[in-house]
Amino acid sequence: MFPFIVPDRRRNADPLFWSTVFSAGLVLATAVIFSSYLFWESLPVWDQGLWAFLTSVEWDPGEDVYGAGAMIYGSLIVTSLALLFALPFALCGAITASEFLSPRARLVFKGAMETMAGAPGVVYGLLGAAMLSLWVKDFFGLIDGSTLFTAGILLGIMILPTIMTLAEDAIHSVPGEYRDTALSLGLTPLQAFFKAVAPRALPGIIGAVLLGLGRALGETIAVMLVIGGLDIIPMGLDLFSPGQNIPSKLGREAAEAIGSGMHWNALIALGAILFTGTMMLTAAGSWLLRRRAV
Amino acid sequence: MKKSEENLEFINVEITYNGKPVLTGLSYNFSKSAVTCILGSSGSGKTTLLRSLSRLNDRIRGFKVRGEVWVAGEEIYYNGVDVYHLRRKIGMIFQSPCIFPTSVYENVIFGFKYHHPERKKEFPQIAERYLKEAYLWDEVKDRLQKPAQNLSQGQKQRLSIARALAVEPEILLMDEPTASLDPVSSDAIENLIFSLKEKRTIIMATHNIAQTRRIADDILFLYDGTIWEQGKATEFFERPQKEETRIFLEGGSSSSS
Ligand SMILES: Nc1ncnc2c1ncn2[C@@H]1O[C@H](COP(=O)(O)OP(=O)(O)OP(=O)(O)O)[C@@H](O)[C@H]1O
Ligand SMILES: [Mg+2]
Repeated sequence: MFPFIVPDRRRNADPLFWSTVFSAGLVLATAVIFSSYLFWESLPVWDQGLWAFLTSVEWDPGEDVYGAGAMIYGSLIVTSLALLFALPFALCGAITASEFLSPRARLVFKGAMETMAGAPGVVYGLLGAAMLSLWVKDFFGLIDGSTLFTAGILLGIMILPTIMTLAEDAIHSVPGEYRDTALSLGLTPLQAFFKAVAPRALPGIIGAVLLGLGRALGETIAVMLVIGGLDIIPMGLDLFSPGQNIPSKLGREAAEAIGSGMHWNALIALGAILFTGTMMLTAAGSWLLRRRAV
Repeated sequence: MKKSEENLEFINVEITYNGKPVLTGLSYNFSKSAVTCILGSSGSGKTTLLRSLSRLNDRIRGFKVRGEVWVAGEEIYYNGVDVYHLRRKIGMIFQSPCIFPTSVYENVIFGFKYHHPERKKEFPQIAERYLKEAYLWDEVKDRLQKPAQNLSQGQKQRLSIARALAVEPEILLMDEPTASLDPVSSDAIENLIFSLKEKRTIIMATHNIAQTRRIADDILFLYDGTIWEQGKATEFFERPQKEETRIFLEGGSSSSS
């Protein structure tokens, strides 16, 4: 009857077994319904021309003109900035914690990182609006501190602890024999790390980075508070201009647009784009994490 | 005090973990170009003794060595000793071979490449020479660029020996190198050890008494946290001096041969 369920448990299985199967099915069904809804509801927008929607910068609900260009651009810029900012610190921190801290210091450090990683986006957003955007404004002499740059840095700070602690797990789980072997061949601890430990930990580190990126791509409230909220693609890669990314656009307009024709469809289409992006990151991440078992 | 270049010696050494002594009153002068086997039951400190010779336990908190450990004319726990230079003179083979996730070739030249990056032209010769010395060449010469993870356990152990040899150590420490191998692979390693001792000093920890009979020149028997008995292998097996040694030899030979 259910060929995909492990065969010998089909008969005489206890109720607990069936309830697990049911729960698993429920999760699967939710995922399917969820994604079909996104794509179904955004169909009217795709019909008007996929390319036009992806590239146009016009977004005017009054005229029923919708283009996602500015938001897609904003998402790419802000996420890349976050990664550029977070990666060096995250990796250095992970290496230090795993290879050079005493076991007790490592635990304290990890605890702090995990607390930071678990802090909700809105808290980061408040601090970003209250402090970071003022610093950016003063430091670069801007009229307004709400810019793509500010949002990128804030996201970088947000995903830093996530990447650091997950990368640290990957590094720390490489067996001690790899270090011993490299040391016994005359390498210094740092070289032993780069030559013997890092290659083994690499898939896990990439997985950590992708998970961090996923968080950066989807974060809404923190970005909304500091990005400026202007649907434009600034000239010449100007990072110190206000902008917009997909989540912040959705956060701003969703409530007023619910169920109102094309405006709603266009927002759902933005959601579908974001969903596709995070889905690709998650898929890449879990693929790499699985390869670590080799 | 200065010792000769070939000297390998413990003088009144005590090794403790967190203040708890594991080995005390160690004094021993290893013979060069010979195989010295360290016997002793589990937990008697064989691994600790070997690792103390190349300072591999430095990173373990609470590990402490008192007394003098002389390797190649240097007291190695003396401040200012270059540990990385020391470890090039004293190679270590672990119980289960640790193979890096790259090709066979990259594994062999791993240490050599690190110490002599400029001698790039010699890498292939070095790889061939030490794979031959470890009696592995014929089995892997057609798959040098293939992942080393696919080798058998015995081949991996010989690969790790080739990799250690390529750094050109004068002394080779082996911690139960055949413990995770089948009898055939074990024999291969034993033959290898025989051929290596011409040029190198080998110190091997083992549980296996039959194996010790076949390859040891000298024996150190660890018991009760110290060197209980020592001497030439032939004498040791024929005329063990102490009761505990006799019990260990009888118990061991019935279970491991
Ligand atoms: N990192 C450590 N911290 C504390 N004690 C340790 C540590 N490593 C080893 N010991 C202790 O030192 C003693 C000797 O251990 P060692 O590993 O040297 O024994 P061994 O003779 O090699 O045993 P085996 O034959 O099982 O390998 C044991 O009592 C062990 O519990
Ligand atoms: Mg041991």
